[in-house]
Amino acid sequence: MTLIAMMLLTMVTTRVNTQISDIDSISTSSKYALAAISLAESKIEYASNLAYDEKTVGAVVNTTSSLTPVASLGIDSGENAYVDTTFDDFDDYNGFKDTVKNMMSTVYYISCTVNYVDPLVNSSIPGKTAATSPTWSKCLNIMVTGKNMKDTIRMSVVNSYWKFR
Amino acid sequence: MGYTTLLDILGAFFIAGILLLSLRQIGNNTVINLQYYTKDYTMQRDLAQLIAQIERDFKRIGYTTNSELITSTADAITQASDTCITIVGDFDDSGTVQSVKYYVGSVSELSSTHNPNDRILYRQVGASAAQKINYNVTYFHLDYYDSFDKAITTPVATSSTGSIATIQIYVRLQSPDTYATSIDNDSAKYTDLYWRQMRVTAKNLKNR
Repeated sequence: MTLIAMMLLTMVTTRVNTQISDIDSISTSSKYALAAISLAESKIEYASNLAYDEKTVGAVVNTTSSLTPVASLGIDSGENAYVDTTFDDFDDYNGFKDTVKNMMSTVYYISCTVNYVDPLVNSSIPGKTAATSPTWSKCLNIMVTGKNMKDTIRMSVVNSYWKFR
Repeated sequence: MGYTTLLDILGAFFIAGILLLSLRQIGNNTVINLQYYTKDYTMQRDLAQLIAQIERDFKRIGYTTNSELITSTADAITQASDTCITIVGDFDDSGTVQSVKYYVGSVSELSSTHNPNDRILYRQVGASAAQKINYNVTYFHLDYYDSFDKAITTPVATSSTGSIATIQIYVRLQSPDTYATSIDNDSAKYTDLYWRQMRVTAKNLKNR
């Protein structure tokens, strides 16, 4: 009887502790996720304000063949791959990686990819299917991970080129 | 009654005592955790709602279908300091522009709470009465940068608001009351949430 009581006690205690620990983990993780979303949205906001392409920084482009080739998406000469304030166009974020250490006492890792997308192909999932040649739309995919986060935050935005005449 | 039976009864009482003490401790911890997680959940929900509101407004800085109503960034941001900003745009898509002012109140407004740093965040549309949109703000800070990503000193002079290209928004929420870290130790701890976001101001003005 004594042994059964002790086993019961151990099981109850373990079960309660596990549940409390799980709730704590979920709550903490969602706090960090909120901060991670703010970081991802900041990158999206900043990138969306840049020129569509290196070729459109100071000029108007009329054909997609004039845009940066798929293989050349990324930083251009004079830009620092680790400092996005040196970027001047949207696809400079391709391959961009950043580490944020001064938020919520943890470390966040941001990584970005940019690819051309065709809005008419698989339009329900923007950015899911990368186009093999330049198009008028580019998709920025951002992943944010953190030391205390269970999940990875993934956000995407499609930026299209247009010009009033 | 034999010696073994007596030992069994004493052992059973001992185990039952431990079990009851453990159950009491579990009950106490459950109450503490329930209190903490309820506050935490409420604050996370409040922060998400607050940010949605701020994002909705800040996205519309300078927005109007009549470009003559707002001709420059200076018209779109009429007041800018580290804790207060007045932005202008057609926020409700009515064809007219309104001003929206965000500012935090004094800590003395919430002196009834345990938290000495919590303030009310206000949102005021035009000349109407300011709405209290959050009661748990312990830090609301705005940094401004020009188009070269150079920080602009606050408060920004009215004549210089046109140079604001990006705004960095910091929001920190804390619970108004402490939660006990254990039933015997009521040490002061607040549930704490943080948000930092950069917003571009000139998007609506640039696309003309």
